[in-house]
This record gives sequence, structure tokens and C-alpha cells, in this order.
Amino acid sequence: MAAITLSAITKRFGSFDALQPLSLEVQDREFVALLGPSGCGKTTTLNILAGLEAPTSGRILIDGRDVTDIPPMQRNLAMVFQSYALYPHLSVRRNIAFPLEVRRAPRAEIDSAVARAAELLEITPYLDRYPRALSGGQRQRVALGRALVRKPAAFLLDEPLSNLDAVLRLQMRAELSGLFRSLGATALYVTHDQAEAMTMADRIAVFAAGRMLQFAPPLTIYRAPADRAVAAFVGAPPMMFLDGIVTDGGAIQAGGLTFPARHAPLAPGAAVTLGLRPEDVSPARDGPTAEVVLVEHYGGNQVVTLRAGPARFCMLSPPDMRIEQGHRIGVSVDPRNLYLFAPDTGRTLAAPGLDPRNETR
Amino acid sequence: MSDRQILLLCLVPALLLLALTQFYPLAQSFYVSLHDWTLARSPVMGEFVGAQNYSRVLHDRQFTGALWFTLGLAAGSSILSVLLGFGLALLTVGENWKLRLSRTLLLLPMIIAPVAVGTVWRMMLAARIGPVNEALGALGLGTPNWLGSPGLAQVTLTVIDAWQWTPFSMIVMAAALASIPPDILAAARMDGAGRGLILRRIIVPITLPIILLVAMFRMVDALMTLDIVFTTTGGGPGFATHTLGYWIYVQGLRYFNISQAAAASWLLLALCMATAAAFLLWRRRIMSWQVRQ
Repeated sequence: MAAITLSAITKRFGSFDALQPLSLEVQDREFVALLGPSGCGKTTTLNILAGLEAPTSGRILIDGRDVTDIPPMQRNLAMVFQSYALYPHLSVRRNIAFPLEVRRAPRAEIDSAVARAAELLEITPYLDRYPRALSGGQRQRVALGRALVRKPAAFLLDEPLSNLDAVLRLQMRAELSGLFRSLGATALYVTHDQAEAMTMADRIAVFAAGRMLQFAPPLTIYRAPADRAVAAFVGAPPMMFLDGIVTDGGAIQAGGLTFPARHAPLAPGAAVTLGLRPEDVSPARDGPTAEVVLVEHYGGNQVVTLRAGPARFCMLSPPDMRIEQGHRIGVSVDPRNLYLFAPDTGRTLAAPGLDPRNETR
Repeated sequence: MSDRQILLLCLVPALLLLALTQFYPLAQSFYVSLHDWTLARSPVMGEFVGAQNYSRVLHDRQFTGALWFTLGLAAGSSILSVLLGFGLALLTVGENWKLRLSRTLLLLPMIIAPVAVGTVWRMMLAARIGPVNEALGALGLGTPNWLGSPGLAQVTLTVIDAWQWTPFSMIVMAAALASIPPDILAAARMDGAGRGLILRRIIVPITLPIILLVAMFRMVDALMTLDIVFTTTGGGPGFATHTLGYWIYVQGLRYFNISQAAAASWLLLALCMATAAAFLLWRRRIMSWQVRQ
């Protein structure tokens, strides 16, 4: 396994900047998720690291060795593709064996490595089938087997679960997580699914529009987002944003509601964007009231959409609470759980995960 | 009346027309091939002779000569055009204006009428006044008689046929290559395979079913070659470049030996069908991976 350093990598396609200068250090045995919406540059980053695309500028180091100009076959990285990219004309056995056959490994070594990978992934019964005869989940395992069979410096995974159905995706998510932890493998995992990133990664790199917005452990991303874009992308149901003004008393007034703020970072009268995570809003007997616009009951909990003046926000409430559409209910937010952003730049001014005395973050 | 019956009823006129224009002449020619009929002697068909015409044709030295030359030409031209077509397709696969332009230019030989192809090549290769030999002569490389010496004429015709049909092979292969998911090629690179290995272990095996299909079409088509012979060598020198098609043409429409020409036509048809069947069987054997288990 290996540490990986990307240093000031950029990528231009014609006049389009696919990647702003990007620097990223992945430690040995670290599982890093590259998270962002489609077209944000995360797959480009992975392809550049793999050597499938050349960066416009910048250097790539694997364990201190500069591999920027080295072809993919000599970088010793294993990749799992979103489409699985299995070789259709080879049996499962030959698919998994391919990386070793290409390296002219001895037959006995290939056979035992394939058997081990197949056992680990529970695909031994399918070894003599062709990819066409496998289900999506089985194909996914074969693709993993092909990556595992040799000892790569790191694993690159490009949305490996996005072609699976929802139930299987959850199951594979847990399995993959366990697998990579037990392998002690360095892995870069591209995904647009924030739940995958949150649950699997040691650290998450959040991307948007060709820029890396933040690179931090999942809970830091969640509780101390660098800016509004990161806050909006991570969390489900997503954070809601309200335009607010700092009152003389240091509270935040937004959409006819007043939220007591523990640490008002701005002078009275200043405009501020208030961010509310649904789980931080709770029903209260004596709080300010809001109108119930929509109740979505998920069985285990319910998401209530509320309206107060022009402002709309969501509340996550327990499953057994009776909430009627059209009624008004009182809500409260723990002052510690307010997120505040600068309305112009989107920069985070206050967040639960930030030390309030260190607002430069 | 069900929808299906109405649909079948609508098909009847087309089927009748097909039967009339396709199967009736076929049946008629088979009928003729079993009788003795030489137009030069009589306008009316002679007596029933069974398989005599077939045995006479098969014992004809000119016919067997033509058979061997035709097989050689078909095999040579197919192999050449498949290999060249695959190579050119590999070189021109992709989407930018340069590649698209090269593909279009490379297609030109195919859209020229075969008769014109033959005529142009005959003029190009004329022994004393053709531009090819003038150039070779000026370089001091000698002036081979491309269409005039028996062995060389056979090779020349094979090359001309391959030249004309390589574009066909190229466009089909280009489509086959373009249909390989790029992820698979990227995966092979990540797995450590170099260009040669990717070509041998991934690209060729995946496109092999289509390569065989192209080879089959080329082979069957080349077995029926007539036009190029007609416009370049006229079957000569001697009988060196008689193809089966040309032999049939000469027997039937020059010597009016209708019944033997019909018999030879049926032999050629059998040869084409056997060739096609062989290729299809081969193709099915290597395609097990495309079948759901």
C-alpha cells in the first residue's frame, strides 16, 4: 500500500477548466472519498491519478515517486469502474486472472490468487461463467476480484455501486467498507452519494465545479463545512437555508422567526444566511410557530416541511408524533446547532463543529 | 380474421413476386442443368440427361483450373482485405475531422463500379504505356507484365479485388471497434496490458465474430467474381484468370452451352453456401461468451 500526493494538478479540455489547481495528500492505508455532483472533476481526478488522462499541469507522487509521466500499467494501481468493464469474452476466472496473466505470473500462483479472491468475494460458484450470465452484484464482485488479485499500491474506485439497485447497494457498501478496512488498503473512492462517502471514508474531499471545497473527516465535513456549498451537498434530507438578519440582541431573525444565537459573529443589522439541518429542528411547545406544509412519513421517522413567512425549512421528527398538514406548530433549534454563512461568499461564519473563538476556521 | 392473418395476407403479393422473380428462375436453371441444351444447335431444350452435365463440367480441365484460381483469389482477397481493413479501422477509429476525412477517402474504392475499377486498373497497369510501369521503369525497377503473364496476372487480380473491397471490411470493423466500451480498454491498461497485448487479448477476440462475418461476406462475394476479370484480362492469358463466374459466362453466353453453364452455376452456388455455412459454424463456436447461460 502507498501514500499518494497530488500537487497542484490542473486539467483543461480546450477552453474548459475541468480541474482548478488541486492538491491532495492521501495517507498510506487511508480510505478517501471524492464526493461531488456529476461534472465536478472527481472522475477526472481519478483518471489523472490512474494515468488514463494526463494532467495539464502538476505532479503526481506515489510513495514519493513521481509518476506523472509514467503510463498506467507501471503505476501499479487497480481500478474498479462504474460499468465494471469486465472482459466479455473471458470467463470470470480469466477476468480475475487477467492482471496476473499479463504480468506472466506462474500458473500455480495465478490459480491460488484467483481462488483466494473468489472465496473472499463469494463468487467461487461462478468462476466458469461469462460476465453476460451474471447479475449486476456478481459482476461488481468480479470487478473487485480483478482489482484485488494483485497487490496494487492503491485502489481507485469510480462509482462502483451506482449501477446496483438500492438494497444491494446498501449491502455492498457495508461489505466494501469492511473489505478495505481488513485489507488495510489505500483507496480513492469516487461517488456522488454522500451517504456512501459519510459511511465509508476516513476523509472526504468535496468537489464542485472543478474545485476541491474541503478535505476533512466525515463528521468535520458534516458539522464544520467550509462553506455553504459543502453544507448543502452533505446531509439528507439536505440543510435548508434562510435569509436572516442579526438583531440588536444578537439573535438571528429569519422569515418571521427569531433564533437565539449563541455566538453572533456579526454586528447587529448585518445580513446572514442561516442553515438549518432537519435533525437540529425539534418540535417545542413554547417556541416560535410555523405552518406545516408537507409531512413525509418514512416509517422510522417523518420529515416535516415548514413555512414561516417567506422561509421554508424542514424538521425531522419522531415517528409517533402526530403532525397535521396545515396546522401551526412550535419549533425550536438549539443555539449551538445553528449554521451561519456569509450571504455573498458562502463562507461559513459559525457551525456546530467549529470552535466559536476561532472563526477564521 | 385475426391481425396476424391480415398481416400474412398483406404479405402474399410480395411473396408471389419473390417466388416469380427469384425461385422460378432458380428452379428453371436447375431443370435446364439436368437436360441437354446447346442454343447453337437448337432453340428447344433437348432430352433429360441426369447428372451428366455436372460430371462433364467437373471433368473439364478449364473448369477445375477456374475453380482453383477462384478459390485462391477468394481466399487471398478475403484475407488481404480483412487484415488491411482491420488495420485501417484501427488507425482511423475515433471522432475528429482528420479521422473522419481519412475514413471517407479510404471508402472511395468501394463506391466505384467494379467495371470502372477494372478499366482503371487495366490502364494503370498496361505493360508498356501504363503509369505504374512508366514510374517503375524510370526508377530502373523493371516493367513487369502485370496482366499479361499468367502467374502475375492471378496475383494482380487478387490484389485489385482486395483493393476494391478493403473499404467494406474497414467500415464494418471500424463500427465494431467503436462499439467496444472504452472502459474495457482503460481496464486493460490499468491491469497492466500494453498496446500489443490489448490488441491480441482484448480487441481481436471481442471483434472476432464480426471479423468472421466480414470474412464470410468477402469470401462468398469473391467466389462470384466476374466483372474485374471481364474488364482487365478477359480471363487470359490463356485460361489463367478464368474465374468460375467468367467460365460460366463464356460457356453460357458465348458458346451458348446453356445446360453446362446452368450446372456450373449450381456448383458455384453450392460452393458459396458451403463456405457461408462453414464460416457461420466457426463463428458460432467462438461466440459462446455472447450467449446467456
